[in-house]
Amino acid sequence: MATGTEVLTLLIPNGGWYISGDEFENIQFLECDPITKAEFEAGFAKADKSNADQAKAKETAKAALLTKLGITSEEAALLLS
Amino acid sequence: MPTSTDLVTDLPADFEVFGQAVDTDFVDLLGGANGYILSKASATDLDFAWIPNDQGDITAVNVTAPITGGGSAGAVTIGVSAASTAAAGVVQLSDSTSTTSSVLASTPTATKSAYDLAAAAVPKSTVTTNGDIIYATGSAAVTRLGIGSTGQVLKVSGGVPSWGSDNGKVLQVVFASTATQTSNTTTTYADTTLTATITPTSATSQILCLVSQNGVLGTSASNGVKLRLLRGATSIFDFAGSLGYSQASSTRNDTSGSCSYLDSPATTSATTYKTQFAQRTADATACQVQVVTESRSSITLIEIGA
Repeated sequence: MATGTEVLTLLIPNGGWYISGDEFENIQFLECDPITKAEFEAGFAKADKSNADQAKAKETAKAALLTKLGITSEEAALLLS
Repeated sequence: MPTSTDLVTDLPADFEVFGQAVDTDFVDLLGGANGYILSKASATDLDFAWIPNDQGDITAVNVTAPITGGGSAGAVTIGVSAASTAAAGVVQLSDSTSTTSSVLASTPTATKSAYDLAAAAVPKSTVTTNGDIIYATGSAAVTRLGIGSTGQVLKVSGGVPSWGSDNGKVLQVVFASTATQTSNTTTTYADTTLTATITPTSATSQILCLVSQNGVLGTSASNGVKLRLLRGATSIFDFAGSLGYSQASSTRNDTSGSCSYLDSPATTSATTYKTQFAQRTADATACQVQVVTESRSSITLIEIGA
């Protein structure tokens, strides 16, 4: 589950906001245009998908790199130890 | 009636006149009951009356408690019963001021002894209010000291007792913590959610604030997090200016900031202390406090008697 910070980072990437916890009522739009509560709450699904996409892309990139290097993940870990 | 020089001419008739006069003059001597005595009825000559023979003599002594005895014949003896709490009677006097007797009566000597003790005692009117205490102001002189406030102790000031704060002693401790992840993407100070409220027992007390702000996550290279301590809405102590600063790396550092600050709020009202944070320079990436649940921040407020 994404955090309120991750949702606002996704929806208002240029910053200017403050949030305490994950509740819309605890957001302060200090130096940015405010969003609605509905937009904020819908943002959790978007943030979850974004996090999942980033994790998946990271795993894909790792696998491609290992293939390119011709080593296994265990061998890569050994190199980094 | 004939006189001594008159010639007796009619003796029977004269005796009749004499007899009638005697009957008239001594009529009061007639009658009377057995044992009665003759008593003058007025200042007129030969004016008498028969009355009971109880004039001037005691014929009986009748008594009621506490007098005892009495009688109506022969030698009569009378007495007086001793007094008790149940009946009147004769009492014995006593000079004692310590007896617990219920039948003795105190003498003026005993009364004066008690009076002298009472006169030398502390007047009850010296105290007026619940909690008052009494202390001497000199030889045989006293005054009252009103009760102090909650938490105060008895001290000596200027040679006399007085109530005062327990100097230097910890009077109370308030602790609070938070694990709420809080983010700020501006250079404007905002609450970290770390807050605690204390109500000083004395306006002269000092409040020692101990703050441990954990899970402080910086933003990016050449930036950091500012932290400050506030009393109410007033900033009283900036204790971090660029926490988590990293000049070259873009790695974000999870760190912590702490401070201790001795405040003098000069109030006995509830007083709230809290921390705020902000980015040192504007950055779209959020700086955070309590970045994860385990990064719990805490604040401890210690009231120290002045």
